[in-house]
Amino acid sequence: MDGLNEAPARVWRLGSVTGSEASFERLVVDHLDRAYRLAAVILGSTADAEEAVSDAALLAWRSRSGLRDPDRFEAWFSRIVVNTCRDRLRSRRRRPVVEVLPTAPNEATEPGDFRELIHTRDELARAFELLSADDRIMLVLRFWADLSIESIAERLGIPSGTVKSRLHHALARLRVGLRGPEVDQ
Amino acid sequence: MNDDAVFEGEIRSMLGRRDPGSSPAHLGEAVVERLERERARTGAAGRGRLVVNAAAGLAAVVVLAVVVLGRPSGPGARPGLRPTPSGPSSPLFEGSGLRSSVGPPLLQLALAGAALVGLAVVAARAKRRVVGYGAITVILGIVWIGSMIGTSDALEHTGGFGVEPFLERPAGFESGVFVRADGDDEFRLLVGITNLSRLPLDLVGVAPGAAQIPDADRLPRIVGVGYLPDDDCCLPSRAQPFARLHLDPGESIHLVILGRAGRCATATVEVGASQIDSLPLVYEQLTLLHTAAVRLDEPVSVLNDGVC
Repeated sequence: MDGLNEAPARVWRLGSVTGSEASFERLVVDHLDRAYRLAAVILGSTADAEEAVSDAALLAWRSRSGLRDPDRFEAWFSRIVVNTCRDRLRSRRRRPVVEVLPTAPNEATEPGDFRELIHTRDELARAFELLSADDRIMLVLRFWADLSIESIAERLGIPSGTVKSRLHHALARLRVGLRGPEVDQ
Repeated sequence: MNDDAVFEGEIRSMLGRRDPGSSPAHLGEAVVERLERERARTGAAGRGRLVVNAAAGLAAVVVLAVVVLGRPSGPGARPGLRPTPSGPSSPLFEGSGLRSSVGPPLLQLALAGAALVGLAVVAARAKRRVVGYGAITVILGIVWIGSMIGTSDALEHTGGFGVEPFLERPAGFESGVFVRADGDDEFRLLVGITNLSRLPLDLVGVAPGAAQIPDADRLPRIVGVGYLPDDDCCLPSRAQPFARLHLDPGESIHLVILGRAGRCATATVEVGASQIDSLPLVYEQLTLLHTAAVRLDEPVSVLNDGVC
């Protein structure tokens, strides 16, 4: 999985992050790819992801004095991205957006499973779309970004125990959504 | 592989399909452009803030300098100097050390308020912590100093106390010291005064008070003040004419208050009495003038005939 915890391809570190506006700008640009992908996976929309990342970059710029350790930039910036995505998801609840996402070709190879697999995929994606912003973020950070419980806790600024609890409940709600409303009773 | 693992695998697969891959090239350009705009905007605003901060800081420093160092000039106004005794025979004369009572120091309060606002702006907008902490420290210092000045508690009557000419307490009176005077005779009070505040102060005089009211010469009133040199306690006749008196924290001085008993005063007819129970002393701390009503140990009474 192409997660957030994989080594960055290139990170600009010319001098202090907070001491040089140019180097900070460079640092933001160097992390755009991963920020964009994270936002797209959370939001399920590339257009929304672009806007979210652009907003997050601006927020990061404005609050750059809050970054004390340049080595923590990635975690710090991804936290801003996640927060921006959360805000967008919450506002989207009031105005639903539907976008058809591309599916990876030829993933189902076993004969006879193809229809079922496609059905499960669709149901899972639909159930995921019905989750709350916090549930989505939790699942994305854990199963797409492959972050450990501690890393998620650090990025979200919550205790590890809370992460475990939220993750458990997010999975449970996803299962419920997958089975359909009758299971929910 | 159990159900949970399968389910998590499906989730990973589903999320992986949502991953669009690399960001489009125009995103980087758009972000850079947006950051450049923001940098230009905040740069201009930052320069404006810098000017405002500098002006506020300068104003604060100037105000503090005025408040702390800008002491009045002129005879007897130099800080830290005791008046030089002019000799043991110098008479205490009427009008010596009389000073109008003063109201609240509005100008200084306004300046101090402006300084606090300026420093608060500096503290809130400072990008360097040391500047912010420095401004906060100065703010706390101003508030601390402000809390200590301007209260009557700064001066207290301690030590010597006496009147001249002295009259034995007449029958029927349970407390107080009495002045032997007929008509508008002079009398003197000896009063020890101590600076109880944590800041030095200058005594600048005594407020005449009753002299301002109509027919004031019917009543006992203060008409002058002097002081006794350090080595000359308790003899009002050796009082020196008043000049500004510097008192460090905890330091004491003996004042000699010159009074007139009022034309109704009598040393023999015990019909009524007028009392002086406090001294309206005017003092200055950090250029701020205050009037303190310093309560005497016992009221000073002047008898009168009640028909005058």
